Amino acid sequence: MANINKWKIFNKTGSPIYMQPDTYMDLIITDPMNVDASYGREAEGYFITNSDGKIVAAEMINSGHSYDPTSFTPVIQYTNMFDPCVNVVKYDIPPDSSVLYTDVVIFNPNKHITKGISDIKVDISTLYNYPSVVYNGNIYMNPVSQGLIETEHLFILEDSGDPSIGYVKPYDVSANEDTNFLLFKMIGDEDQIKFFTVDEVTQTVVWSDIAYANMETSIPSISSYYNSNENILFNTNTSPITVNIGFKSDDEGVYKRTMRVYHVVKGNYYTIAEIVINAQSIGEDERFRTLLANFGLPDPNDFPKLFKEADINEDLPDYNIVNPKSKHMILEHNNIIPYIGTYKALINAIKWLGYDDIYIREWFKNVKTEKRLSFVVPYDAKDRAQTMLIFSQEQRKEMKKLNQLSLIYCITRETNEIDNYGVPITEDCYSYNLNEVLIKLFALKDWLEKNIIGVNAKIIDITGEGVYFERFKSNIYSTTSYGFVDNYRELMSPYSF
Amino acid sequence: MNFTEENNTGKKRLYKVRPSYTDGAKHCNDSYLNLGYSYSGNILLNGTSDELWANPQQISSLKRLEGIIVFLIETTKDIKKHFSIAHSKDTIKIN
Repeated sequence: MANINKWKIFNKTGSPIYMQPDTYMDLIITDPMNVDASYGREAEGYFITNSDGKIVAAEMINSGHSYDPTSFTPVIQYTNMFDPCVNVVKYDIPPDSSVLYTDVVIFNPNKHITKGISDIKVDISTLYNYPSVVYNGNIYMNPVSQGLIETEHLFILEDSGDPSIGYVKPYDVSANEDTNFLLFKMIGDEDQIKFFTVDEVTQTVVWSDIAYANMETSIPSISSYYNSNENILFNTNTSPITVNIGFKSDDEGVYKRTMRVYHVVKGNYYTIAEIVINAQSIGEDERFRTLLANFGLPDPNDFPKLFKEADINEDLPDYNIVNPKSKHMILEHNNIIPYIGTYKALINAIKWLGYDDIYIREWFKNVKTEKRLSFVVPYDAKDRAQTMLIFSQEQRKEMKKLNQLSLIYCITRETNEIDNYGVPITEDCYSYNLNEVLIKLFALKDWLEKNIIGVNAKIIDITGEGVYFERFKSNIYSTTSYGFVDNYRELMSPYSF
Repeated sequence: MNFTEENNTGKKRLYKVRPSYTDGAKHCNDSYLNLGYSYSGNILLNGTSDELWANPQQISSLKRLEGIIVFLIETTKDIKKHFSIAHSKDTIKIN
């Protein structure tokens, strides 16, 4: 059987996906003394059957509280939704069943430690339907621009119940790979959502409506090695079952498709879970084209890959970037367009394009010494007191302003964290490699020279700045050798005979 | 809106009319003001004779007509939204 009640499904960010059980064999737990408000209540659970139909476990949804096993044993019954009877029949569990309790603290308003039901162990010979529960969940994929692909990766693990083992690959002890396996199938018409795999040989993406996965065929276990404290894991495969889901649509809209999970046992398909995959494709906001054209503003749709966040390897524009940038231009154009040819326009345009790590240097030439020197261009005029205006008026007379600018970009920056050796940790400023950064920055240089910088000035270089730390180990060690002081003298004057 | 298009394969394009879950999450706490009175669902009822509604067998047809009228009125909001970029292009929360 597949222990899906113990499965944990994680998405690509590592967040667990909540699965709601849809149960067919509910437990009905009543306290014989429930006339009094102080007696046990609210315990809920359901039975789990294996692929033979035998009840193998009880899963408690809610342990309840205020049960008192020393005075009264709660009455536990169960129902079967597939019962042929018209009315719901409640079956008593066998008298030799054992009920396990756990401490539950309640406040009413004073603190009381009471008992809740943590597990029920039964041995019932009657066979029922498999599975006795179907799990339902939802996945919401990140919205993606139309024509581009968004992926979600599901990692399925099973809680072994033993903290020393942790999560393991889901297992089915009654299985071998040929007869029992998991089948994932996409149901519904909206085939923009599919499974995918990447063919490593041909480097192509293969789309499919069906995916298979095999489960482990042995129970993970742990054993102590002789009498030492060293533990050895047996039959433990901690690799998750991975399901790759992709979404690509040429039309904008909100898409929905159901992923059904079957446990295939000797040719029989048992539905054990249904997960609704939600995806959204973002289209172009056409309103901005008209407005930008009316105002004579630069249209991000004409240069969608120029923005810092945009990936130059994408074939199509990313409207998740183009739409907000278009709106941003309409709202902030008064800080850029009227000031074309000034530092204000240059800095604001660079900020609008998303390059918040880039700054500019202006170049001067000392006409007396023939030396060139540069200063950072500040955003606020008052900050020029720290650059050009740091020189006196007499000194400034010797400076000649050149029509040259430098773009300085960031390669790495400090994170204000240190590693285990005490060395400061740095991070890359860009998520893509340096070649791609340079391609983008050359495009940025061209665009700025054409649209923002005055006719005469030009950007003469693009310089990367990085912060790097290196740890030098200083080897100091003591020796037991003794040192001697030796003096040797040699006369260099020639001998005279 | 109960409005679906069919593409040339005969499949209903429900994705065109589903509400966005990201917009729902972003704007679930928004409190809109000045949206005006919503006549949706009652336009035909208030604008036609009671005689027309006396036959219960016609009511389902009239309700479908009502849906079409509401849809047509909603489409006029696009004109206003075209110049109001503060609103999402799919929003109906505009008067």
